[in-house]
Amino acid sequence: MNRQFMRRLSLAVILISAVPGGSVAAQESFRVELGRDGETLGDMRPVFLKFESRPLPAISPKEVARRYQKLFEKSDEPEVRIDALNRLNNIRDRSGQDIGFSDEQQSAVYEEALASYESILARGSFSGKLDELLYQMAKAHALTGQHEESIQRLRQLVGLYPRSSLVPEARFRIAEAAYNAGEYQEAETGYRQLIEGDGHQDLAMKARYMLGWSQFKQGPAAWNRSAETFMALLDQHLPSEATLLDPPHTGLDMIEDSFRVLALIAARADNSATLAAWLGNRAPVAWPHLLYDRLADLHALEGRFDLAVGINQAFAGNYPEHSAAPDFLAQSVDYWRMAGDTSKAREARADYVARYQSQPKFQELRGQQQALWRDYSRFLGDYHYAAQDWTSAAGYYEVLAGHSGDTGKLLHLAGDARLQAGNRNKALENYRSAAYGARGGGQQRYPDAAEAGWAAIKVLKSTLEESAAGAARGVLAELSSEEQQFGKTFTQDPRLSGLRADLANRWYEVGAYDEALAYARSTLVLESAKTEERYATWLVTARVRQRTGEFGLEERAWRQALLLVDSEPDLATTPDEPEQIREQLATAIYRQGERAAASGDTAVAVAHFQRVNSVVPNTEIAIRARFDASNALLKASEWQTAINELNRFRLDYPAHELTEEVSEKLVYAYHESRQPLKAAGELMAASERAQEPWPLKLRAAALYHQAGELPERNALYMDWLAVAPDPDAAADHVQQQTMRHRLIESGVDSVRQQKAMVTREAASQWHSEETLLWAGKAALALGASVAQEFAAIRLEHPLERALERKQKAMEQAQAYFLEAESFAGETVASEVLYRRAELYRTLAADLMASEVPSELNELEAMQYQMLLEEEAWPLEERAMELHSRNHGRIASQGFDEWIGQSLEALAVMHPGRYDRELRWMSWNMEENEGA
Amino acid sequence: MHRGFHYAQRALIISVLAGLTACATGPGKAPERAAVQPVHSPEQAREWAIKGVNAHENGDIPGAIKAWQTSVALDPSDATTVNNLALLLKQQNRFRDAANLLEQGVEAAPDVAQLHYNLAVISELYLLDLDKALVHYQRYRALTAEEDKLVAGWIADLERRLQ
Repeated sequence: MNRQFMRRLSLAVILISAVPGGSVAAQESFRVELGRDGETLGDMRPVFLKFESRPLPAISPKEVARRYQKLFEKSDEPEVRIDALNRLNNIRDRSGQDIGFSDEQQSAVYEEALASYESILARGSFSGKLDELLYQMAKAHALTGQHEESIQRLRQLVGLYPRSSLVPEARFRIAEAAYNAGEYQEAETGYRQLIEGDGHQDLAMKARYMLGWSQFKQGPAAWNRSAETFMALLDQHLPSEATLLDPPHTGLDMIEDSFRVLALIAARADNSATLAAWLGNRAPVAWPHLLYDRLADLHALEGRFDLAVGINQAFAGNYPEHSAAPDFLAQSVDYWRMAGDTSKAREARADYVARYQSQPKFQELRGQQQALWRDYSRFLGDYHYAAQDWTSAAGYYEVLAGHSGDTGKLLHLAGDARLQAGNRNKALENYRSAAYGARGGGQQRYPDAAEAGWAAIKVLKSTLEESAAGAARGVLAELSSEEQQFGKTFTQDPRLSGLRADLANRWYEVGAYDEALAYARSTLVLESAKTEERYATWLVTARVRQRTGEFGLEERAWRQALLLVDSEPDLATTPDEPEQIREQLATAIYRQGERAAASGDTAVAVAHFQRVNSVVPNTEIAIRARFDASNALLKASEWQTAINELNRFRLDYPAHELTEEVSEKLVYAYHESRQPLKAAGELMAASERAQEPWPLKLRAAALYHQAGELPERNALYMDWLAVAPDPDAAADHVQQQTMRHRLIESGVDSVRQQKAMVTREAASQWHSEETLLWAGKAALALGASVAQEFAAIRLEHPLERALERKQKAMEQAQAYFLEAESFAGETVASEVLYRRAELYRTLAADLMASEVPSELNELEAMQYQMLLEEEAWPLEERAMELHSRNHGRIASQGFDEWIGQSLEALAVMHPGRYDRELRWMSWNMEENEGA
Repeated sequence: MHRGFHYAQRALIISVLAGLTACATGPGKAPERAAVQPVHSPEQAREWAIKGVNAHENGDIPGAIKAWQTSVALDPSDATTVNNLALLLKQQNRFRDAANLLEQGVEAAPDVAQLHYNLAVISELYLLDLDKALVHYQRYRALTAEEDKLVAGWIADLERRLQ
């Protein structure tokens, strides 16, 4: 609404009301008094109308009036006195000042003036214009209360001088007189004649105004005519929007009064429907809002707020695109407030906000309207917020933020409200906008932007807490993203470090180690990070490094955590937490040792293993680390150092389970470092503690063998062979035969071992080339021994017994030789043949050399000798046959010593064939030297 | 000829002969002729022969063998050295080497009866090559003026065994 115009209209009313009552009463006859409504429509009056015709003199009006007043008083000439009086009146009218004669003086003056007029008229010799004289006389009559006479003079003027320039005014005054006399139809006619005739425009306008009043005064039947007259007046004075901004000063009172009358008529008719009907029949006008407003005001002033609001609503409905429509809606708010109905006032605000909340609609509002819209929105938002109607409050804050410069605070509030309403997504959206996208007043960042950003983070953290396990990772990612924006924007926020530490922990818990590490890192770089946050972060870092196998970095992290918790024990969540950290630290070091050992970096591995004890002295892991240090040394073939470590370990931890393994490792180290005797000694010592000592002893025996310590070895062999069970596997058989072989070689209990060797080999289902050879040689040796015994048996009387013994020995030797050949085959075949042949040869020789019984005579002795020869001959043949077979083996097996011995025997037995002497040649040195 | 060149060339011949000797196999196989005919150096051969004798007398059998081998290489026609070297080889049970050497000696000195005799004995007893033994006993017998009854008996025995 054009409030400025409305104010000007109202101001005009006020000014009119301020005119002193005395002055009005004195001039009642020649003024129309408007602006003061009576108790009934009949009491209503038009506004006061002034007539202005002549310009004022240049000097002070008061001074001019004083001179004319003096002239009137001193002159005796009727013309002069009348003229002075006319001038005086003109000056007072034009200047608007209360100058000249007082009211009391004026009646007396006009009484005197009338006498002058009558005198002039009676003389008939008036030198001036008679129309003016009649006009002045009418005026004088009016001023002296002689209204009928006054009108009579004016009628004379109109009738006698219809072309006089004073006629329009005379007509107007005549009509006014009719109006004042309640002759409204006559007045209507008079005013209409004035309007329709040629003449004074100013008077025509006033006549139209009074025409409307004349019609209005005629009652409801004439109200539509009256309304039409007033609207025509308004069309005339306010033809365009421009005139609304700068309405004509001269007609301001009439315009205002026209609206008033129109409002009164509509109020008594059908209100907005009446206005719609009037205006609907007309071409579009510039002032309809002023009329609606006047009507609404009328109802409001009279306490009919519902009707007033109805008028406002009607205008907004009929003219939704009118620039004043928002003002009407806003006016409704005011009316309801005036009515004390806060609920309806709030609804009116809501209606206002709703109608113009869209961006295009809002942009169409003027600045004050926009400000009002914001006030209403904020009011409504706050109201609903206080009423805990969170969704409504959030809605108002959100929409207000869209049309406000101070969006940050509003969106922050909207976020709070959304959160209270349980709408986390919208709350998040608002918080984020408040924190990162919104502005405070002017172009500055919203002062509490960090709080808004933090609120968003809290929302996400709450969501995370309530998330199912499967969804947690997604929420965590969102929270991380939020943190990144928060951290980027509010780099100095003291809560940032705590958030990052928390995120590091959460990422670790879901197994996202890269993210956990990244957050741990980003926490630690913050100078503001608190000790407990650093502690938590180092713990996460350590665990991640542990998972990823970065044990060096894990150690560093544990150390940092330990440093913190040692300095501030309250950091620990449980009393044994520092101890647990130490154990983890020790494990990290241990793992480094393991890794270094695996990669062959022994020195580093040992160093790591040995460091463990400094962290957790004499704990299980420390003990194991020491043990593994020894293992690393073993692996690196640093034998002596390993031996020293192992021995110390056994000394330090005699009861530890690992100590049981020390002995075996020492054996290994001794063996590898070529200290077999020490290795054997370690085994023998271990065997004393072992439930099954023989495996250890046998290994010791092997080591003694390797070291050439044959007595110790042989003793173990003897002991073992004495108790060893029958072999139940080839290896056992070979092992035992090997021991026997070595004992035989060492000359320890040889015969018994040889016999055992032969017996075991014959009985065994398992054989090796070696065992067969060894058994063969053992059998040969036994056979040779028996053969020696056989050869030693002298064939003495009684020959039968001696021969029997000898034959038995020979059979036994033969059996050994044949057994030897059955074991060792070709390897011993030459020797077997030789020895077997020698048995026969020996027996034959012994037979031939046997003692001839002394009781025989010569002949008997000869016969006896022949008999012996007969017995010996086949034996010798057999011997030759065997030696010859042996000699024949040269072709297939080559020459060997036993063939050579057979050949020597053959040379003796059959010299004609086998006894050959190679012949040396000698050099003829002299001959050669001479040649 | 320059003396240095002479020694170098001789050393080459010795090594070639030694290789040939070592490679010879089979009792009936004739020794291969050297691709390069040996250059006879009786003087040097004699020196080596004497060294061998000295070594033998000192019980240095390997030294004697080595010296005599060198001597034979320098002078394969030295039947004495060939014979005695063969006997040393026989002592070492190197019967095949001994026989081969004797066969070389027989070829170089076919009229030396002792070479045939020793070759026959080694062939008979240690190589069981009775045919070769019979041939060389007979050759020995043919080369000797005096009747050797023992050898005659052996020939008779061989002939009987080979029938």
